[in-house]
Amino acid sequence: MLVVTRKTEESVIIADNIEVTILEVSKDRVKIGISAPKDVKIIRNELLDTQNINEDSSREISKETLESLFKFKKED
Amino acid sequence: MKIETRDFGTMEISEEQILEFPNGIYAFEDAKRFAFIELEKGRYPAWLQCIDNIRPCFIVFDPWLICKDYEITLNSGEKAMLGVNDKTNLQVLCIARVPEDYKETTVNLKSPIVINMDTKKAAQVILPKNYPYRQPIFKNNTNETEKED
Repeated sequence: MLVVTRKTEESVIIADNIEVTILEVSKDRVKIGISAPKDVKIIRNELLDTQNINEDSSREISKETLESLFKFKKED
Repeated sequence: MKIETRDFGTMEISEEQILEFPNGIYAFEDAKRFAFIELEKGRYPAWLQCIDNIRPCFIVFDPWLICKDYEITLNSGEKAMLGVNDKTNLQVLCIARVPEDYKETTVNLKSPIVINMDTKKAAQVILPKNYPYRQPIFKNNTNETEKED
C-alpha cells in the first residue's frame, strides 16, 4: 500500500483525472473530497462488504444443512 | 396469501408477516417486500423471504442471542425513513451466512435489519461501530464479539 502524509487542503492525484483532497481532520475522522469522472464508481467499503455478504448469505442451502439448522432449533 | 419460498416450497403467509423495505436490501435493491417467517413464535433461526420472487431469501437470528451487549444506533436519515420515535417498537435481525457445514454459520452484526414493528417498515442499516460481518455463532466465545480488521 502506498502511504503518503497530507495536510488539510492538500490532495493526491490518481491516474491524471482523479483528485482526492483532505478537507478536514478531527480526532477520529477525516473528511475527504473526491473529484473524478462520472463513470468512476465510488463506494464506501462497508457498503460493498454488506452487498457481498448479502449475496453470499442468500445462496441456496442444501436440505441436509437446513435439517441440521432445525435440529439446532430443537436443542437450543 | 400464498408465496413461493426458497426453503419451504409454497407457503401461506398473513398480512402481519409482510415487511416493507422502501430501499430494498444491499445488493437486492429491487426486493421491497419480504415475509418474516418464524417456524415458532420467537424462535431462531427465522427467515426473511422475498415475496415477489423466490430470491433473495435470508436466514436470520436475533443479534442479542449472539452478542449480549450488542448496541444499535440509527442516524437521523434512518430514523426518518423508518418513522422511528422513542415509542416505536423495534425489532432487529441479523443475517446469517450458512455454509455446507452449518457449524461454521456466521452472522453479520455490522449491517442488521431494523424493523419498525408498528408500521412494518424495514431497512438494512450499516452500524458505525466496528462489529464483524462474520461472527461465528457456534463457538464457545459467542458472547464475546470478535473484532474484525
